[in-house]
Amino acid sequence: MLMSLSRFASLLVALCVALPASAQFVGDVYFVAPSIALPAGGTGDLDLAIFTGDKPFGATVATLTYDPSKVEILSVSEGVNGDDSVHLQAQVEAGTVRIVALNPASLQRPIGSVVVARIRVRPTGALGERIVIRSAVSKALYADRTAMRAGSGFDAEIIVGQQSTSATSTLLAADNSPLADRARRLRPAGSEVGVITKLSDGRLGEVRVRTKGTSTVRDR
Amino acid sequence: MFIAILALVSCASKDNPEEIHDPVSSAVAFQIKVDSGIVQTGERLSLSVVEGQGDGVTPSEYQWTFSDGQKLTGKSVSAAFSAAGTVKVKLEAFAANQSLGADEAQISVVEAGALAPAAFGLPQAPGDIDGNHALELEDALLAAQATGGLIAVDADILGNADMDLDGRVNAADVALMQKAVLRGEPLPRALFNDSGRPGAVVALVSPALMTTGKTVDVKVDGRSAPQVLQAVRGYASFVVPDGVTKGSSPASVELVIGGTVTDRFQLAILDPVAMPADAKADVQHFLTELDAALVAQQDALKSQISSLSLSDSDSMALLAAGDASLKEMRRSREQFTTLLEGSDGEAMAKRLQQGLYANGLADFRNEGSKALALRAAAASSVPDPICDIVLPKLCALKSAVSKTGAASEILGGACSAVSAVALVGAARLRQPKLLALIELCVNLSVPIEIAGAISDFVDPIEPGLRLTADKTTLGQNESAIVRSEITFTGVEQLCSAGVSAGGTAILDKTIGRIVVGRVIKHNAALNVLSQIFAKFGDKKYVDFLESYVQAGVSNTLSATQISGALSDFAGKLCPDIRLGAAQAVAQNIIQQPAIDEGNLLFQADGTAKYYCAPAGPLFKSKIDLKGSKALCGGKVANAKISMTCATSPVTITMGDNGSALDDIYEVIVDGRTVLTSSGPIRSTSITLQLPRGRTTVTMRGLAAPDGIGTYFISFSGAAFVGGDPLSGSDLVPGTTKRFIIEIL
Repeated sequence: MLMSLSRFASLLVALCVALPASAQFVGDVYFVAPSIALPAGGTGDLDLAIFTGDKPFGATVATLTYDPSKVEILSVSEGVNGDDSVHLQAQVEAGTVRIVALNPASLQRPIGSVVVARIRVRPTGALGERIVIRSAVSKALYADRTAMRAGSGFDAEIIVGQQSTSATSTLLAADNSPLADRARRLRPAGSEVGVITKLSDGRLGEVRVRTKGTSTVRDR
Repeated sequence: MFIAILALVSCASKDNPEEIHDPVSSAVAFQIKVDSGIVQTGERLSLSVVEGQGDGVTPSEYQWTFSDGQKLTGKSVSAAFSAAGTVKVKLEAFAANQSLGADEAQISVVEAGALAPAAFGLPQAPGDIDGNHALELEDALLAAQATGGLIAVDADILGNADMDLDGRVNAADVALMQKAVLRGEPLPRALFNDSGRPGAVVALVSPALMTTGKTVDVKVDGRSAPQVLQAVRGYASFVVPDGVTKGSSPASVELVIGGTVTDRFQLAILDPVAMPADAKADVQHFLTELDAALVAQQDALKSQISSLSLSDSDSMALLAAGDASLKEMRRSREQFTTLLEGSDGEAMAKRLQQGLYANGLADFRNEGSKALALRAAAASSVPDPICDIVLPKLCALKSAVSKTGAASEILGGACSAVSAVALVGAARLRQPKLLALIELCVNLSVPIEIAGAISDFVDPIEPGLRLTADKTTLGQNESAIVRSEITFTGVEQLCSAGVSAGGTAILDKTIGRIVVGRVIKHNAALNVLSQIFAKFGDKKYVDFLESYVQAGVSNTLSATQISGALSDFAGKLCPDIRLGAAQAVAQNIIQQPAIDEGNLLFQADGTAKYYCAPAGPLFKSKIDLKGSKALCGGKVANAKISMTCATSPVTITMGDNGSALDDIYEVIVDGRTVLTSSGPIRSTSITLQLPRGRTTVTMRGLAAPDGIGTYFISFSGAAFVGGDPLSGSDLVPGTTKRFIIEIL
């Protein structure tokens, strides 16, 4: 596995926490890069994706919720997947973003992880604050217009501050640490996810956290 | 104009236009008489018997049987209906328990407040494509796929997706459907205009307008619109009130139903336009422009259609119809000119002038001054039937009709503004002058609205350019046939209606819908006009509307002539534009690539044969072939097609090879997922054509419930030259593996 160790301190933290079984299955919505650091007033993008499995994407209705006193949604634009794009309509109201994404271009693609929207954000919270954007999918269709299962929605988080771009110290997280809790909300159990957190030297950096799933059978 | 008719029918029916139904059998000496053939749900309808000269036996009892289950007796009865639809009525007469015969009639029951039944061509269930009586995500996807050409949907059903009532279904309608789905509402909430001036007509849609029986008001920056036309459930148009001025921010438009604000929109108020001081001369100038636009449209229609082999009789009929239309317009103009020279003429001209400018006359003139001529084809061009003949004809037609379409909108809006001001404004015109002005509007509206309807048909046909190839990935020593095509977006509707169903279908369904949509969006005065004529007992408007409904407008282009012309146009054009595109000569369009990007050999059949560049130090595996073509109005369209050279088949196989089958992965090449599964899978594969040289393949973990992602990947037809291990147990969600392969 090639990880971006050159940029950030990395640590795989195995967390033995009992969780409901969860995996990135068909119908799940999640953010491609779910944990980002942005200075107050700075702007960044969060790509929202849905996993369609091996059948082509048709349409989805999804909702994001957030605290409008801590982050502004500057724009919501169409997601791009290689040469494929989706048609998007979005409605931003205080604390809620609703999107309806359609695939008018193909009955065969895209498949798999399909980026449906790019959300441009600007945090207004205090330095060091963690701002959470929650996602939920209320309906999704394949390109043949049959219903996709209603999947889970995973969070994105914005840490207000400047992320360090150099390798710093490592961090060991306890099984029940706040870091583990955060990781489980960004990705399904059994995932590895880069989480932005304050490192031991006080700077913001990425720690890669791996959560443990609930299967009792070890998959070896 | 259809919409207002309904309001009028239900109003007028209370006064005089009662319907007497023809009896089933001429031997029966009685008939059903109903107040109206159309009734709203819950509204009580009176029915009675009209007795004629029979065989001497007088009926002693009449029995009424309705298809919704109601049964009544008596010579005069009344009935109300709870559900929309068609109700059949049977009247049977008896004497001494002997049936003397029966008569039957049919009543259209429309939803209360739904003023336009299906007969008028408007969507009865806006946005409902799948037939479940609701606008949902499935409907939006169906409409998107249909407008994208991915699936075929029956034109009548797809018509329900015409959310902006412009007579066609396109991306704008899909976007409106998405907006409705966003809110989980039966209709979107939207203004159809971004900007306007006082006196302009603006249309809107809102689910709040589906509520019936309540007053509807529109306020712009707190000022009530002088008139609001709610012709179709869910839709309304209004005149921007006087006194609203341009501010630093858009004006607030409030939809007020039953005294409650239900929607808020924003409307940019435009600066007032400087108007020539001589209003009479300016109005006359517009009428001259209108005349010229009609002449141009008739000329364009006639020349394009006749040059496409119309029969002599058809051509003559069209010529005659065009002449009649112009004659009617000119007659009205003469009358109007006489009035302008009389007392109040100046005030009348001022009002009309204000309405014309409020609804876009200045823009109309600016647009007209632009050069619309087609860019001349390159001198070196190879003769090309599509580009040299069909495209210029279409462009000329589009240019001509866009003028009349715009004029129609201006005139409709102006008449709305004039009648609104005349009715509620401080400077009331005296009654005879007002009527004369309205008569001008009505008379001019007949030819101009039909011209506008034709323009709405032709205008959306938008030529474009695309390049296609029989294959875009080429193996060693392979070549591809490349075609350049002129696409005609929007032509499908014309072709499907005109060729498969004949011109009548165009007229009955599409033009009807277009005209209704035009009225709703561009004219807020028709109900006012109808009230005026009803009040003054003038049946002219009623007659006009009825004649319009029957598509038998007597004094202008006839229904047969219009449908025949369009049908012929479609019949001649569509075979050349199968599937909305026609091949153009590639040599005139596609640029020869650079020497290291391959070679194009132009063929006698108008195609080009593409060969990849030979292997060498400058060899490029991926190149874009580019083309360009000047289309309507000289606008240059560009197109490209990406070719991948010297490809070889590469089979990628991957899966979960752990003890527990619980992991999901996806494989990405060139930014696109090419292989994945909907659940854990032991092995799955795909064969791709990949170019010679090195390619990076990415494998991403998506599910590993136990935190252990055991994976494998293998390549056939390519050598693995580096990257992550081809198998392992750490490919969990959030992690990726990269593999570099070399295709020889």
